[in-house]
Amino acid sequence: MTNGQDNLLPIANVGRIMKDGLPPQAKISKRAKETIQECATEFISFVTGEASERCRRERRKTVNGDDVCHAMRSLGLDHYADAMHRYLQRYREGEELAASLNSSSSAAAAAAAAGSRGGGAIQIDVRAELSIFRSGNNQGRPNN
Amino acid sequence: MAIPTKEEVEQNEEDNTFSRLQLLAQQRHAMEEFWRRSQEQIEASAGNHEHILPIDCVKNVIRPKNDAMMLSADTPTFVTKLCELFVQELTLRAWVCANSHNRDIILGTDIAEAITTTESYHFLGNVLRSHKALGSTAPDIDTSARKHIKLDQMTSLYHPTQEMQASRLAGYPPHVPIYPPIGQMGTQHKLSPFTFMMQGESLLNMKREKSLVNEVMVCTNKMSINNFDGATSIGGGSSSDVAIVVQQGETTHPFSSQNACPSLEDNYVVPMPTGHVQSFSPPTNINVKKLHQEEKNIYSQDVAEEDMSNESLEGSQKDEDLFLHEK
Repeated sequence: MTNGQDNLLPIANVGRIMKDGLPPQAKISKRAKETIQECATEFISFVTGEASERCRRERRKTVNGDDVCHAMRSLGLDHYADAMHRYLQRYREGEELAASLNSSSSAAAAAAAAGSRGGGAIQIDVRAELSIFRSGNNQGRPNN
Repeated sequence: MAIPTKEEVEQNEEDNTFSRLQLLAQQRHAMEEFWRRSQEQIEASAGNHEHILPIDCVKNVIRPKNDAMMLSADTPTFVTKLCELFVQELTLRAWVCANSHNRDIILGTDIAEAITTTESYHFLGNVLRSHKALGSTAPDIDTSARKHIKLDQMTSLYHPTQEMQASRLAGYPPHVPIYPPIGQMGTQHKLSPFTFMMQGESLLNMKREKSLVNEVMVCTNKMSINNFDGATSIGGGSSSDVAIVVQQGETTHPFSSQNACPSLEDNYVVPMPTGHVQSFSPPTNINVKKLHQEEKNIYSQDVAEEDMSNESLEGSQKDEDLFLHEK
């Protein structure tokens, strides 16, 4: 059963996503948008409910992306699981890049404050990170 | 992406089977293309693409069923992207279905067909059934005198059915349409013995006669014909129809759920419920009329494109739906 009306996704955004994936001459009836709107809401509830159930069985309190990926695989939605697994990897690569940049800034600040903190190793890393960032070679970074 | 070629569905059963296999092949090809493009997009975006759906709305959908659980920081973003993939994938399947019927507009029936032909979407069957049930019993709230009469009779006529549906749809909020539905298509009497469908059937016959005499119809004239048909058919057969409905409800409850299937296929154009317009201001009367006109134009174009073959298509569609539901 679908959730209450307040928890439905906004139909204008749903319509926009539908249109983006279709040829220009395609038209979409209002009824079709409403049906997809409810199906998408049910899809989210169904998949996240399955992921939440797995967390409960393993006595964990936090649902994460891996749980949702695993839920989709167990529900027979393998294409979604493959695509979102790769999305999660790319998302985490972005997170690591941002984290390393923050770490460089904080390390530089700490070095400036303490003076001799960390020695030569940190200084070398800071210079390497900054030079890479300055030259705009983000794409040249190795994929872990 | 390449647009799937249009098929011509013939009335022969073997040809229907063949076109069914062609439809599945086209769907598989379109899906392979879709997933390849999705992977390329994911590689290129590095996980930083902008979301079309608001993440807060996605959180609201997740939260009610996961009160005891916490979400990691990446999960709402992850689920938002997942939902966008789902919407596009299902829309593309429906587009293949629409093309197999030689249409350029995706209707509710195409969504239903896409879901029933995809095994991993079995969990959406409940959504389809509740959607059909609500669609077929939406009351009319316009203020004209005839529509008031129509509203009263419809309310009394559908009272037993609404009671059953209310018990099944506990917790589902009612949708109040702004204006009455137009363009009801008739169905076979034995499949759906409701006045609602009979009204649509007589409307279809009226339209055929009108098209022979005069191709151009004024919109107001259409409205008056619609009201007249509704009043006449409801006034004439209300008591017997109520009896039929009561008997159906009392004796064959499983059949009534099947009975709800054709109603989705018949409603090409559905009034916009209030509450679905969260992201923009509610339309004024002028806007509503404008939308009304646009929908009529779409429907007229659709009817013009498939005039005679429409009935055979609808028939085969209903048969297939019933067959699939019985599995």
